[in-house]
Amino acid sequence: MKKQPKIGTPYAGEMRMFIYSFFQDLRLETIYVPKSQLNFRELSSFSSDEWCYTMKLLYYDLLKALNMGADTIISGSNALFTLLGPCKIPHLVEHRFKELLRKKAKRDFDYHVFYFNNIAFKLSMMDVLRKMGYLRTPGDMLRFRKMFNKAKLKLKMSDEIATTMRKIRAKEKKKGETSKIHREFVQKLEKEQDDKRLEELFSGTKRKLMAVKQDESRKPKKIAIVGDYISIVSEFPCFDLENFISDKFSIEIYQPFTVYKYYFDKKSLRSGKVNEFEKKYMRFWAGGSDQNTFRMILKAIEEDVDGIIQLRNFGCMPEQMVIEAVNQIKEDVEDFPPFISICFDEHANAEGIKTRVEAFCNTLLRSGR
Amino acid sequence: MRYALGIDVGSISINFALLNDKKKVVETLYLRTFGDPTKALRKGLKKFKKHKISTLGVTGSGRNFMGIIAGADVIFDEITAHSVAVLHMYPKARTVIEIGGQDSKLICLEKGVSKDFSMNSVCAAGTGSFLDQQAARLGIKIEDFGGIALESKKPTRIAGRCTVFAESDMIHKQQTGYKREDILAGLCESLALNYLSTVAMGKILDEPILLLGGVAANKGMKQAFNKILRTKVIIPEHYSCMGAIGVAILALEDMPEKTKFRGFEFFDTDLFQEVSECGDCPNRCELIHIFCTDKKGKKKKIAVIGSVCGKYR
Repeated sequence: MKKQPKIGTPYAGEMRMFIYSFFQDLRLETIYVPKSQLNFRELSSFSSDEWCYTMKLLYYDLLKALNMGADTIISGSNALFTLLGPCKIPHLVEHRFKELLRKKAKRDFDYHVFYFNNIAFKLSMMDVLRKMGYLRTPGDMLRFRKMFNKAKLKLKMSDEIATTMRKIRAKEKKKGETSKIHREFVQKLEKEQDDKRLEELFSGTKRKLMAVKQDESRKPKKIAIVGDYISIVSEFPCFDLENFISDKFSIEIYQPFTVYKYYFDKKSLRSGKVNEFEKKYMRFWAGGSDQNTFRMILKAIEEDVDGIIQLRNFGCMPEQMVIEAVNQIKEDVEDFPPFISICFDEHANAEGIKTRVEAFCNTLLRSGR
Repeated sequence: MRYALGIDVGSISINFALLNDKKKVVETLYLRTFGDPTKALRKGLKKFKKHKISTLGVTGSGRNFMGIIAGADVIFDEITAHSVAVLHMYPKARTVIEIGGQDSKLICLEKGVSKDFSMNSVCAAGTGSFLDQQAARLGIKIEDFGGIALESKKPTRIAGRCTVFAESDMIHKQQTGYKREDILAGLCESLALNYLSTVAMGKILDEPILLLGGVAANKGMKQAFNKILRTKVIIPEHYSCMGAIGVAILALEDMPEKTKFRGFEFFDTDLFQEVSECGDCPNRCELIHIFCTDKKGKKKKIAVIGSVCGKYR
């Protein structure tokens, strides 16, 4: 009897939930790599500093998955879209992952690549499942469509609950109540596959959030967090930026980029001013997430945020291009919101980052903007 | 009369500012920590014993730890504290350049509020520690550094990207016979240029410009900024204590009915820390348990800090 694979994939925020949904439908065991990056520094002992932080995160998570018993690795890849732009780091690095992981783990395992690219997204997943032997017949293809729709539904639910949670959290009377509800929802959503129970979980969570007591007299400031997606959803060296800002300052976090919107609701990220400004300030794509980050910034301005925080990997040229584009827009656009770029990698100091974030939030709160 | 005490716990110094309830500066104190801020805190607090402290504010890189030990009513980041102090004492100021022991800041002010700011990120060249280090290497007292630099007629060019490269450049200049004052003046200019490109990021700085932080005491740095910015930077009276003044003002703005300040007698007791690791989740946070000895000599826990989840507060 063929041994059932144990699937391991990077944490990668909601992407893991999306990928795992297929394997849960196939009733395969999935390994949950924890979000914590506290031991991340040890990565420096076996990865090159020329890799960007995103590459290091992906690689480190795969190694953790192997250490936790995975025998089938589904690696997330940015390589396809960076082929189109000058940033070649993901392309250069990712194809070596398999070989490096084999040397490090000192054992063999199956290895497949799933492309985080909106063109190849669906095809990529089909390809992975086909290579693993799960899409052989026309009946399997029909089943795949159902699996895909379920995975998509889970992303949509996650997106809606997160958006609702962020609005309510800034006004909650009892600190920590909304984030606790959200955390419990995410934990259950990741593992639930039954349609009826999913619906109950979603509507039940919505009711709980709506029931949270809010201080309506509070008019919270709103900050957008933008940047490369993998960096945003990972924990910093030692702390979680969104929770830190929300808990300490009761500021609403606006997250322009979500996995659901990026793959299934692209129009919401490309409306109106976004196209107009892109033509003028960001015509060329450097191949990383620069275009996305730039669009997120413009969406954030449309949403009338009070401030924008860019999370930038140390040495990431595409994200640096965004800063230059922002500097140019600031000269032309009146009332551009306060903008701070936080540069970090595994060598960054959490206290230094916290000080900068605190100063930014305090500046906003005291500015009367 | 009610008093607010502000403490700025920096990387190489700890500064105190005592303000009355009219926000007027009564007394200030600047102390070097020499790696032991708790000892410096105890020493500094003795100066203010005769005043009844109604509220305490703490800022600086050591604010969270010292805030807990001292019993702060408010804890604010140093950028906010500096902005508040400048806006209170120099309301017409538009730009603040603050260069401390380990970090540098730029604060842009407009219409009475802080409009923008930035800090140094990965680069430490151009901070007070580097000047200290070079003064020691050349056998000069840091207090004399600026005066010697002012004697220069022709400052030499020194690499400014990184402290290691700057030092090797300086050594090379010494070996090739450059005058000491020219090297020091050149170093001041390269640090100022490094600051303007990495922290100010090429922005046009609006006047009036204030220079704060311990480095403001260095006349060579003042001259370097004047030359490069083509203006006269202003060094305020309390340039090294503005953070402490600012956080004292913030403490006054949020005056509590009863202060959390532990009192001066508390600092006559023993204070010590123990470190442990929390195993409740994969984060494995390093926890610092802070203890004091009570009047009976018994060990008493004051606080635990270091948990990411905030489980221990």
